[in-house]
Amino acid sequence: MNEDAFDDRIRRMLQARADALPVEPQEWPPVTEVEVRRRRPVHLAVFAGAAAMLAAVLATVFVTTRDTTQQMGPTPPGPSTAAPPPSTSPEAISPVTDPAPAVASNAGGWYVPTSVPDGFEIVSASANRPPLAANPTWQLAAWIDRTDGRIDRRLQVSSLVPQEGPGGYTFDHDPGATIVRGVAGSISEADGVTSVSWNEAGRMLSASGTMDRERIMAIVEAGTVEAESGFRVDDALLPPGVEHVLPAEPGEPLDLLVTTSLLFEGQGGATLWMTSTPNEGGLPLDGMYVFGPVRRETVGGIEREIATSSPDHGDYTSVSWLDGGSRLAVSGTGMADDELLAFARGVSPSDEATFLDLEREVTDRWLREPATDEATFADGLAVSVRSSAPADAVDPLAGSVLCAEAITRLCAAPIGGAGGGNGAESASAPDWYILVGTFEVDGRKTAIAWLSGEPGDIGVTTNDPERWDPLPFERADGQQGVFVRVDVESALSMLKFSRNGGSGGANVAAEVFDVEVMTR
Amino acid sequence: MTFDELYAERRAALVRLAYLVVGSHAVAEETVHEAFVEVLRRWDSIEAPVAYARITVVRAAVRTRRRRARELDLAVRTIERPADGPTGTDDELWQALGVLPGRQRAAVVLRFYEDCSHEEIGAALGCSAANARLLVHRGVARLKQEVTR
Repeated sequence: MNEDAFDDRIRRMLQARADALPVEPQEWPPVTEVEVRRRRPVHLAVFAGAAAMLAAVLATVFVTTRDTTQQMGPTPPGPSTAAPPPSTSPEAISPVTDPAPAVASNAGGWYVPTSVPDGFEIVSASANRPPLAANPTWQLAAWIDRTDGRIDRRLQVSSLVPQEGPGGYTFDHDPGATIVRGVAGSISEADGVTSVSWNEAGRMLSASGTMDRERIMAIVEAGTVEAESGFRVDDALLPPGVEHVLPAEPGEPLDLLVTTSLLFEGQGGATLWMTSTPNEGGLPLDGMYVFGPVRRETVGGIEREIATSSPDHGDYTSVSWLDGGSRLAVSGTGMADDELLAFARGVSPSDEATFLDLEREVTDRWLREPATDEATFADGLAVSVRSSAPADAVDPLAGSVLCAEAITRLCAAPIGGAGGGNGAESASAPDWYILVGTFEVDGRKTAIAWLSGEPGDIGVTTNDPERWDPLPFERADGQQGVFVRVDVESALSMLKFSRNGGSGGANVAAEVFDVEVMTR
Repeated sequence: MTFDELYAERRAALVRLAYLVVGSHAVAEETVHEAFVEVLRRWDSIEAPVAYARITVVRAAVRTRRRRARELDLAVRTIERPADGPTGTDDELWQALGVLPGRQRAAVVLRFYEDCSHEEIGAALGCSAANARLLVHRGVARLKQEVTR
């Protein structure tokens, strides 16, 4: 049968089937009888941003995408368009009126909110804990710039020694591209932040900040890079008004501290996220925020840094503070400062059990949502992608989470991914997606990726930008795409996921995608 | 055109369209009702109600198809073989249609039942025209493969 004949056969069959369907004429029922369901749209970047905020420095350094891909990484939240169902727990809050201390030191790093703003709902909760050790060669340096005594511009430079052999990584700069400190590098400006990266003295280096490009380049070019200690700049060589804040003296040992991340959605597109992370390197309050002007305020007896993003970087405010070896931050869009401060004041030291109760609550709620795609691996691990995007959302996978269900189960926002094609640069949806999540399943630290197509290169990148080492992976076919699963062998490895024949892919660094703890 | 007029004039056609995508009359009715709720909710901002309703129905149908498969804990293939729709016209090809993934099936239906262009299919499914063309091509290829087994 030729093509036209077969096409005609399809037409005839469809027409006949449709014509034979008895459809009774009806009138629209009165509006009062209609259930108007309210869905929870969230931009994927908001989810990704929650986890990524706590690793913003490393994300800047280590997360890359190739070709024309649309990075779904650490982007500040964008507006969403509809409201979630009202929250029932915890209680709604009122503005702060009591300045008495409310927070004590917390040796474990577990924190939970004692209240959330009215109308908000927790949509993602995740935590990671040792033993995925940080790279001991990682170094952070930071500078600030004051205007009228107020800190309003930042720059931080992070660097590390790439891992040797398989699983190592390095920046992949075109030798003919931008020159930074005499070598190939890159300089980019987006959303009010200038980012510079290069390789030198056996280190990968990344500078990122809100200072103007001239000042950033002046500092970058004035510094020295040593294999052992990283990047430093003599204070005498700093531009006028710039102060050095890091490196500082290391704080107490942080081996036992966890990293946690909570994300909330509010009405009218408001979002709120909260993170706690070990304060590696003894970061002072001054060096915690790079995206806009800041001020100080004591709330609940604790000094907090309140920063408002630059207009180009999204309309959100962040409150940061230090406690018991942890750095804490709450950030929100569409919220008044006093509302955010009230929320920050209510963040309280917790324990693992309480936090995991929250994780379980969020996971259970997601698992009641229909799956966008789902599959089961040979050993019985069920995985799924779920999205709260409404049917007519431009991006149908906006606000997605990856879920894994074995003996235990967890749904959490992806820690990385990419999307591309025509939709990546227009108002329509991307033509392809890669979402990456990480889970600990029966003691196996596992990365799970969902690809909207056949898997291509799956492996770890190496020090040689032209080479990557394939990793064995398992696959489970869904209806809309393919799930692949690889073991995470090293915290220092950088995983590569791409589609077969596709032009883009996602490279995700282990430091960024801390392994999620499955709920028990 | 008022919402009531849209509902009265287009509901039957949209139920038929949804039926071809989801494969079940009852589910199609439910899907179209859900879609009209969405249309009503956004009525004040809709410029082209007929086109918007069609897009909403198709997307709801694709989504419903997945949800029904999960709710009933059945393979999608099983869902596509309706127990409540008409029978007798090219059953072999209709059965083959049930094998296609949701978006592929929707693309084929839009192309050969609604005579949509690839641009229109892409708009309905939230993808590019090129991707829509690919969905149709793969859908037809799969149908051929199924009926020639």
